[in-house]
Amino acid sequence: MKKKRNSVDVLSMNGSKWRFLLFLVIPTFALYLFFCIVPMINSLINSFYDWNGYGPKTFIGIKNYANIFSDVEFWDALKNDVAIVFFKELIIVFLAVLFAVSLTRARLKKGEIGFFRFIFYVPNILSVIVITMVWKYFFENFDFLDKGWNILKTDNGIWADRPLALIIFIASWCGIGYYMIVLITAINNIPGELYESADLDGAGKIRQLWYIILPELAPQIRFVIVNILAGSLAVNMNLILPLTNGANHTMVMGLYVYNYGTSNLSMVGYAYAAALVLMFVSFVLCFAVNMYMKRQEAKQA
Amino acid sequence: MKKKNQIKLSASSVVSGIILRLFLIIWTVVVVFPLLWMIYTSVKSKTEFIADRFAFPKEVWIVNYFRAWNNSTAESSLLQYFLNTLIIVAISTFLFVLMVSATSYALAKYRFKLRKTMENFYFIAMMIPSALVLIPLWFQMRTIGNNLAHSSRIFTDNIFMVALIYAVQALPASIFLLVSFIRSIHNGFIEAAVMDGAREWTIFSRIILPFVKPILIFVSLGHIMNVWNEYTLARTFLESETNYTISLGIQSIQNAFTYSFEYGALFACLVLSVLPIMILYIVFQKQIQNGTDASEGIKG
Repeated sequence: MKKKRNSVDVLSMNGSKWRFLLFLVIPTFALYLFFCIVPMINSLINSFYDWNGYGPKTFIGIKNYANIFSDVEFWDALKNDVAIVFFKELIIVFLAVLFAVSLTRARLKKGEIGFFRFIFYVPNILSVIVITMVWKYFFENFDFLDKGWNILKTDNGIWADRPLALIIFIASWCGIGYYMIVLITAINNIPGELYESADLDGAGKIRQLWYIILPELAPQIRFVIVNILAGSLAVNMNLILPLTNGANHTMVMGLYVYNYGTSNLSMVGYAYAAALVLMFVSFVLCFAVNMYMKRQEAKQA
Repeated sequence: MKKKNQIKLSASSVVSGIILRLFLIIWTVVVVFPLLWMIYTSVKSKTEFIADRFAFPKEVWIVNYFRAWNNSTAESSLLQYFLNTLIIVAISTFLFVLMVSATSYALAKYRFKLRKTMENFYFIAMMIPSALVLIPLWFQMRTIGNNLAHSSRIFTDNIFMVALIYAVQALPASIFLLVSFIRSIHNGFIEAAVMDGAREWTIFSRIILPFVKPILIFVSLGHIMNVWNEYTLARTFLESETNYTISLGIQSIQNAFTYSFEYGALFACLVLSVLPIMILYIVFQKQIQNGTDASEGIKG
């Protein structure tokens, strides 16, 4: 902070500033506490109660948590979440890096770059309802892709037999554009001298990619990976809720919480406990991945 | 600078150029085809759809759009869904812009007790996934409605409340962005205004807002898109069909249309719901993508 200037100290408070705080900033903060923090605290407290949402509560200690861990469906949901996130990360990171490098370092024409940038971002602006409906009816009956090969053909239709694969595909489909743009910016920020000296040394494009672009990109790739991981719990649920609503073993943790919280009204305390477990798992995973990748980067440098 | 980076044309770089283009074109098809399918199915007749789901329509069946528009379920219509969504987007974006810029200004340039606490609250809570707040918040609003107005629906089944919640829940990420921008404004500008006798509101609206306008346009565009597309919170809160947003409305129409095999009309609804957001994207593509750049520069 700057020391007091000779004329006026612009940072110190006065009546006008207090009014500004009182009428705009503090109400905003109060609303924020009310809509985001208070529900969180409430769910933490009520997760120790047997509560149907309206009637009297009975304190039952950690019994809700114990029940969650002995519920087969919960482990199913956790397994699905992990599978979806894992494959989604692989697909998105690979393709986003590939496209970002192609659109910056390959010698495409300017028009081509603009075209691909425009198209690849389109899935990011669509609503979850549009995405899920189009893909749902698309895969319901798509024998035309499969004439003669029967690779994609399954007994009961692909939605019944391979729902997770489709969900992974759809989730990746709508994620790539955003992360591609993130990586394009990062690549454009790499100083040109690095390439020039590599050119002088006679390093080819592939070597440049491996020894210059990827190491320089490491922090952004870490950002992409952690961001996908952190967003996944919510994103998976938002996709699966309108798609299958957890049928055919496509339950995920977010949806598990949602269903207990809204439809099964006698188990609200249980739903809150599940939500907190979910948040804990998500935090630990994000933190661990972030730390691990940071350490790897430090080792490389 | 660009010229120097280009290496000389060689056989291998031609081949790799072709391979890369192949990848890019394949992905273009993967992205575009389902959307193209959605568009041409929306003008395809029922009989043609039943005969072959993926074939191009032989005749353009505009009547699907009239079916979509006039399909008023018992209580509501597509127009109503559009209006509800528009009202939510408008109110929510206005509140969001006001709250986010005022809060960021205060956090960046004021010196008061609890400023740091406030900032930490916003930043820590950024990590709480909104999906987890949803259910407790829903119960909270129902309970308050019950206690104050003897109606559990009054604060949940309410488009104004939904708009307010959208605005408030979007705050942390954007505050994070704006605070560092406003901090970089030189205090001299503010000082000069203070010397001229300007009040806080004048400083805020004449100095701060113009300065952060580009970033504010980006975050509000993002907000408009998110709110227009939002589904889960709306599905939980809005119960009566007259309050449905476009996403909820299409979902409630869905069953009737697929039952009678009128996929054309259903897809016409989808096309209509995408249209406003698509126009926004075409007009503001630069801001939306450059905006992503700006947020990335700070987060990375």
